[in-house]
Amino acid sequence: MPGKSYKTSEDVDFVIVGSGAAGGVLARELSQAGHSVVVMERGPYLKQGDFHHDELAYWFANELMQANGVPPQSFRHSAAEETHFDPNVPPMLYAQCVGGSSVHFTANYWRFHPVDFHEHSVHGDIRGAALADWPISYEELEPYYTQVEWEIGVSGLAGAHPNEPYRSKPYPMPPLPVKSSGVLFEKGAFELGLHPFPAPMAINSVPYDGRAACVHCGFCMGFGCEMGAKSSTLSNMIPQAEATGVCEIRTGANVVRVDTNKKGRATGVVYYDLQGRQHLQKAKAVVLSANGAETARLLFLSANSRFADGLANSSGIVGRHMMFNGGGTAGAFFEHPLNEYKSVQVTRISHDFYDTDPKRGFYGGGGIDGRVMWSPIAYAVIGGMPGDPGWGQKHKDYLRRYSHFMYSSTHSTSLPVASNRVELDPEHMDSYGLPGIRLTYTDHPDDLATTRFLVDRAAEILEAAGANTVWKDPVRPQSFTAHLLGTCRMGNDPATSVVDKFHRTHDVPNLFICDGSSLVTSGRGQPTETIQALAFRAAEHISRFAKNGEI
Amino acid sequence: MSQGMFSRRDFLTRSGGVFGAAWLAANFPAIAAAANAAHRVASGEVEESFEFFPAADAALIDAICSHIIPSEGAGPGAREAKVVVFIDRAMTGFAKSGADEFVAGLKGFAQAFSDAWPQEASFASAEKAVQQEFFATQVDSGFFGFVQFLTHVGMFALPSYGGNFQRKGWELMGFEDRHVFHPPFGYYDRDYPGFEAVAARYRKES
Repeated sequence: MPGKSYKTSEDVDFVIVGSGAAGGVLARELSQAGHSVVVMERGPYLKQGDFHHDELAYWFANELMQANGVPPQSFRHSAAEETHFDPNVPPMLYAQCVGGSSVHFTANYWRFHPVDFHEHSVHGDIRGAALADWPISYEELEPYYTQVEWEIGVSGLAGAHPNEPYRSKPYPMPPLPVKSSGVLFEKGAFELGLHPFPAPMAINSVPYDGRAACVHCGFCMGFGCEMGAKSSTLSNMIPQAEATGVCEIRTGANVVRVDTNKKGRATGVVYYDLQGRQHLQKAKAVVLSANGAETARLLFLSANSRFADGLANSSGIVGRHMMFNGGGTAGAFFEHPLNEYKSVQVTRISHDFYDTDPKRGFYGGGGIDGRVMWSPIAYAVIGGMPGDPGWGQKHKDYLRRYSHFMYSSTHSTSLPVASNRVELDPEHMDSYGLPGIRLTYTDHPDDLATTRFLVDRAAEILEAAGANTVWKDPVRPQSFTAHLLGTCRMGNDPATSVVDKFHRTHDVPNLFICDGSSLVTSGRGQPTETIQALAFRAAEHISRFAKNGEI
Repeated sequence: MSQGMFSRRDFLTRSGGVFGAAWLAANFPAIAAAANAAHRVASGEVEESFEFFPAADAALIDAICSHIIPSEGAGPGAREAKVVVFIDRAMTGFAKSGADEFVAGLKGFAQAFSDAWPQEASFASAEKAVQQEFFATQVDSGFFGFVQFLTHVGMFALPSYGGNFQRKGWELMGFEDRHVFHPPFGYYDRDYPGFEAVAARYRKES
């Protein structure tokens, strides 16, 4: 049955830019509330049967990340550094298809803890950072975390670790079966007196909500799920939105500007279709859920006489405070085969070092997991074991140990730093002659210290688990990310934030932003559940505003 | 973000070049289109023959690849996976635009060997010990980076790309080519008593 189709001249209730983790949720919620919705998606509408186990295509040829009109991305660590640009190696990874990056993500679903929402109150100012409290608390967001877990579909075990934040309901599905990496991680952590627990994952451990259970094929990170067991918005929110009959998913739509009138209100979005024709989709309200880089770019591209530095940017902070999350790894070989290429990436984690501990001498904390990392080509060419020459008998021995290998990864805080930002690239233009994205990023020293601390703990866990060989990968300044957080952060003060606590921009009353850009702090490395909790909450309020005539 | 993902970026950046991964990303549609023809050879459907390289060059490439992943020791090497066929088909198909540079690198390798070992007819026909000694002097060259990358892709990518003959690459790694797995997945998760039982044991011990 063909989906709903609106004319561009129809003044729909909402146009949503982006169909990913947040946009998909907003689309379903707003359409189920009876609003007319058009979702703009640059990429194609792939189906489960379109996904395949081709490591070369997904990992090395960026198959899911290419679409008409993707802006070029350049990178530099600081304004003093020469900008690096390679069109085939973007510094920010996000999928270009219906469902966005929820299609190719790994599906780790960690709730933030209460402390994540008020760390400035706890720790005060931190030099070189703009740490701030959120305008909402964990308690306010908790019902929406629960909604994510039950309506998106998350597997896990409630009450399995002592510092778990309050939850109003258990997980709807039991944890996924433990892997050898999970058993070993668990053993090592318990031996050290830590509190490992089953990893919450947005992957079906049992058939759920009309979708199949995971078949443990092992192709999760960077791949689309042909079983529909991964709880992407492609597999749940988007079809449910379409089923309302009032939501159109418009693919191949490359949005380049939010259109505004003389009164300063948004009137719709300007986009190019696959034939290069420009259109204006009219709407009573616009919601940007394009991710922390693309949303900021759209605001810059939508500058007008009233907002010369970018729409809704009276604060001057649009694009600033980008947070990647910290990350590090320790690797290990064990005597017997683990066969980590089977099943999901992660089955056991630890949150024992989640909180900042002033005794460490720096701000920051995070989680640690036991996991597989590489598919075969990546293991061979990227590898990880120090001393592997990359050729010869020693290299062959390394290749033969693939099934005996595991990683322990760390996931941690990034401080919001004003100079870490996305902005319009003055040098590199897209296919329409519009500026691409320039990313400037340098980890705060506390972020790198946190990662080093956690990698040391990860290596200790692997040692305690009885590994034959353990190594720590060097911790280096980051130049690459899939987490795009904080660039339009929420707050009560229009001078220091872009959106209010309900995701309405301070400057444009009918323009809303909800995606990773809304985050005030970074959490501990797995932000998607929080982004979706925010989206459920935002949709509830935005719908209420619309029904009350408050937009 | 995981450090592993940073490593991926580092790799992609480092290997940028005629046959690097960044180049591969840009040319991927052509690669996919060319894969079927290569697969027909690699699968034995049609008789193996080299379309681009003269026999001597093919023997040289095969010898080079065999130093990256040797046949000796347990498990198959690049020769058994017919990586040279993958590279040959790359030159006549998706890598056509970079073939001159590859050939120049190959000639440079052969010339350097001839200069170093004038008494030997060729690298491919030299004693293994001689090959080994010379090969170690070449591993910092740009050409080595190209051929190393192609060797690994030819060894471990889907057989439909023309290499990984009879899944020999995956056999080396112990990677099972199946779509569905059931627990236990590995040695250590056999007989797992359940999280609660394990946690209770440690709580009791502490």
